[in-house]
Amino acid sequence: MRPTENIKRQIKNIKIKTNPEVDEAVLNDLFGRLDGTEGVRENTWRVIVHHKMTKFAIAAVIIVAALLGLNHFGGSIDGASVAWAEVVQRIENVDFVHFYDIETKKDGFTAIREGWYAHGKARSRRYREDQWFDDGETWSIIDERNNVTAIGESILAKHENIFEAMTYGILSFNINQVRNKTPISVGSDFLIYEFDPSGEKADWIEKITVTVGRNSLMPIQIKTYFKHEKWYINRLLVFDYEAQEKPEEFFELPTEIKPPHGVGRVVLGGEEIEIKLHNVPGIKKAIVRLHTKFEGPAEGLLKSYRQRYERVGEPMYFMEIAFVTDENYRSNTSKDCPLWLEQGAKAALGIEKTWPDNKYRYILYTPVLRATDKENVFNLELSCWLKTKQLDL
Amino acid sequence: MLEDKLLVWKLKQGSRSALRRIYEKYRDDLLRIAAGLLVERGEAEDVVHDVFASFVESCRSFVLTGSLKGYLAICVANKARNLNRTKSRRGTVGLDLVEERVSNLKRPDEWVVCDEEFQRVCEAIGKLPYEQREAVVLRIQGAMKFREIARFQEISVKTALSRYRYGIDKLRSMLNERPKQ
Repeated sequence: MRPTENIKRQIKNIKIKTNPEVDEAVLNDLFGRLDGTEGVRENTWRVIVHHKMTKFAIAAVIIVAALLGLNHFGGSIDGASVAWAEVVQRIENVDFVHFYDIETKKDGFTAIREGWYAHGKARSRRYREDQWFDDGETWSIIDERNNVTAIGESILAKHENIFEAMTYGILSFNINQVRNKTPISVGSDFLIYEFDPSGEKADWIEKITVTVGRNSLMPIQIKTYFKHEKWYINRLLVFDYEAQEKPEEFFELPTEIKPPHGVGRVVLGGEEIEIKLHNVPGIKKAIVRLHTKFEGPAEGLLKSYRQRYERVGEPMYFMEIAFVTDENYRSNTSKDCPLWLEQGAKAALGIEKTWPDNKYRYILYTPVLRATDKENVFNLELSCWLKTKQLDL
Repeated sequence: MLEDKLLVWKLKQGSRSALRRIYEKYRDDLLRIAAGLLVERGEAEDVVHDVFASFVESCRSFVLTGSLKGYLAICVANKARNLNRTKSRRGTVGLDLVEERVSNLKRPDEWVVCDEEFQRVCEAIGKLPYEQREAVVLRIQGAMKFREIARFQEISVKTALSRYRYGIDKLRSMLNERPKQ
């Protein structure tokens, strides 16, 4: 576990025990104050209610109050006039939501993720795939073995609320420009708002629609329509408020790391070695060579590594890697696969044309470099997964 | 959130059980926030009591627009800030003296029964500059979003995040040190 997490946990979990006698005394004081403010009102209420002459008037008032109450607690007498600003107000108060993230292409669904958000933290996962965690400060991805494979700036911190964060800012609008926007469609129990993408997003997004409950004004789904089919036809976020709230531990990175598929000892600048892989259908071994240690300024790195390099503050290493399949086909070689000490990195190799039989093979792998008692000698842990086109769908 | 709305509605009707539930639900969190923000435990207890008292007295006109915990946490932070300002106008207390006062304070009528760990963490938080202390306590104990902390401290979200990070870094070095023999 990271030291920062330890400190946070230490502060959060400090045990506090109150003296029950003082508790009762405080409560009695509060009850006294409550009676002082409310008691009279309650009595007055009873007197008025029991007066025969006021019964009809009260009935009328209750009907009006019920309608106004509906408006106050989330609904509207006329859905067509509900401005987007009212929805935003509800969104701001969401403490917990469970959601599904569905991407579709012409052939069908390409990815379905399930996610949760509670009190400023979020987690999302896909069946037997990577998971991401966002604690409001850092966004981390872990692989199936629970190794951290990517670290970046929190998505939640960058956006105003979970709904903006989950659309990666697509739903971020200048509120003053859309404050008075009204629904394009009003159903018996839902309202649909439609937005045009702002700025350069318009190059690749056609429109975004948000369906909200007519009474609750809470988003039920957010649909993004893409312009180019080569990406997605659309992305659908479905929100579920019925699910039970997840406990805080659920949003913490798992500490238990599962064993890798293979381990080998590598020397910086040394010869290439073979790492035998176990329990990986379709792949026999990996061939690796650790060639570079990078400690220079972040500017010397590819943009995609810079943020993590700056956050981790450790040297980075690079290796060459190739895989050999059960059919003895050798994959193409990745010349500069990035490595982090004690952390994972997600990488992939292999496209159709690189294999002699022209079959689709795609190898996802996570290398983790572990320090040993000797400088420049490391244990390289490897986990990998062979994907085929059929599995990808 | 729905439970809190219901509790506030019941409290407005004068329900004692709703008041008890709100009190029991948020008492510990508010005491932790107050203890983190104020050096003297007695003051922390007074602030929490005052916040509950003001809340009860004004509950008739109270409208819950966000989280109740967030609202109460802000009330505690406001009162603690005012108290600290008043004290700083009266004169500051040296760090050594603060430590001594924190560790020696024990009253028979004390509300919060502290263990050593609680004391150690509170002492460490108490050594942070007040803005950082606020950011750390409101984030961790108050579960507030950086956006809300920024709004409360009237600063940008990035500054709130920096204050929090600096605070956490300092706490890490303070709490990882071995206690002096």
